[in-house]
Amino acid sequence: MSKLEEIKTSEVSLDGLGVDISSNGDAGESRTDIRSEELAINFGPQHPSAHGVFRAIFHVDGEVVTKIEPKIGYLHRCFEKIAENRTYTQFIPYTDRMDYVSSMLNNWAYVLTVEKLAGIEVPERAEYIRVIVGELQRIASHLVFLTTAGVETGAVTPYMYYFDEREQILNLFEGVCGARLTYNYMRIGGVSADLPDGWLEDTKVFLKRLAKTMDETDKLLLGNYIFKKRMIGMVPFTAEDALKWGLTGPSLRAAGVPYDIRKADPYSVYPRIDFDVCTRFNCDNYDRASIRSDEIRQSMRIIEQAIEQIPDGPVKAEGIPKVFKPAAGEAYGHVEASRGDLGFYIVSDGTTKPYRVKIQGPSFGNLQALPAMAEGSYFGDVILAFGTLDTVFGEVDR
Amino acid sequence: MNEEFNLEKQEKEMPEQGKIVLEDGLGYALSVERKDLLKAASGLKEAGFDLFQFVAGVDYPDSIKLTYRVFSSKRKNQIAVFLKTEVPKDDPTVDSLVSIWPAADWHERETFDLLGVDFVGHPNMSRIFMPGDWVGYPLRKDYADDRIIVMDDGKKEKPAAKVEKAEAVETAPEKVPEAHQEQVQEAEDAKTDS
Repeated sequence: MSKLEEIKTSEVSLDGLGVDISSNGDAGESRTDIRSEELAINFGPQHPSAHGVFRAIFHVDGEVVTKIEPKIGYLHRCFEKIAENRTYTQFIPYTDRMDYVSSMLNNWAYVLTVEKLAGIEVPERAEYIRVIVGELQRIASHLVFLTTAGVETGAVTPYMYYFDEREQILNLFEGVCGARLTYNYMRIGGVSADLPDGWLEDTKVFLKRLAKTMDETDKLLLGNYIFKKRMIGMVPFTAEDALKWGLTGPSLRAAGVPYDIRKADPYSVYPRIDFDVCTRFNCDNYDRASIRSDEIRQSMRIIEQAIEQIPDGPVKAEGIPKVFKPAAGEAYGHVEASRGDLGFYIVSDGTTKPYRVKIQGPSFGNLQALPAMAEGSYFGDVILAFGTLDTVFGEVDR
Repeated sequence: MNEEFNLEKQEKEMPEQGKIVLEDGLGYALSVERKDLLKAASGLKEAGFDLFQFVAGVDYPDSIKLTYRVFSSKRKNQIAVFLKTEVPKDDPTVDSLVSIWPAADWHERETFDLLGVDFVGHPNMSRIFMPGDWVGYPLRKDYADDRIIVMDDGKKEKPAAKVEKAEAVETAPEKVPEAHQEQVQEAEDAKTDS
């Protein structure tokens, strides 16, 4: 982390380049010598910067965005209704399709809540496997984030490095469950299968490789002069506003609020693992991007400890039928997903199917903050701010 | 404000808001009448609950139960409270909490869209996921749509009508449509040529 701080604060020499950087960030100042009128520009739903099917109407005054009207729902499948017509087990694969960049964590949040509802104990080995694959998933998701953040500022080279590492994680996931994107790996009461022979050793080898790449790519992307000029100080958000508009996850922590469910409402075996909650200060574009790099390092720490501690034993609780009837009641469970607080609120009426499943997707809450965050900024910075919120539309629309 | 959340102390601080109880599966929960919702919510906001997380509506035969989750970042022990209320089916209206937590905006719109609960005082009470001209509220239990597939839970016997249909498909003779027969012939000719 100290290395990152160093990069951020280091001066970049501009001698001989003929660049004047003193006039920067004067968005909102009106110039009287140019006649302009407000324009409404349609953005999306199919747009390369939209990270999915997002449509917004940007009202712009010259280069300055004065108003943003997000329009969502293009990917709405009403999973909450589908869940009412499936048994508890049958709904697990659907959760994969919400935040499809971090399916493992969706699986986890759902099975965790059902286990809470039905009072099922999970074997210890299964909990450790969940922590390891969950943190690998967080790394994979953050790598995708850093890739897209780079590409949006024109930095295409880090793409290759980040996606190469992500590919290794997908190979590891293919080893545990056979799938590379939508895993359906977690089961109510454990996971579907034990880890293959030598998988933990492969993971250790991967972590060493990733540590090296992260050091390199931090210099390549987060220390890049153009990237820093485009990101530092742009579209900041105060902690107070972030809470007011319901941000969670890395974006909220980038504003300095140490809200991490792994510490605030500990689940699984996280209390036995030593790690830090990463925070930053300004919640500007750069903080929202670089905090992901910090979190990748913390996830690596967590995985290393989990591999040290993992015991032998069963990976699935015994005696749980495929179709079962939890007692009537309600339960809420949540995990710290890649994008924030992913929660499930399940109401049971004592039958084989849930009476109601409410999904609290972090992207939905985060996207809502975009207008408050970005109005008054330059158009180009708004696109970056939208990118740094790391929204996945499978989860917004559900 | 930066102190641990304490139930007894909380009750002394906000006696009008009702009693916060510890519920199984949820945690701290506060149930209030519909008319007291706004008052209870502002009480919670004053008590340091600053992050609005979601509102979930559950459709029951006579009423729709609403469950809000609000979280306090200011408390040392980082605590959340579920705020619960109930609205009758024949008059599904309730005060909007947007004035207290702006983040409630989209969440209330979602509940309006899918369950038909009207939040009074919301600045833009319109559908958020479904098209604007959609009829009905999908998450209501009486919402009918042929496209909803109810999966079998494996406990019941399969309906007789479906079995008949399956047999009918099996007995039907395989037939290439006339329009395609030429293409099939051509493909076969090409094979023999090579």
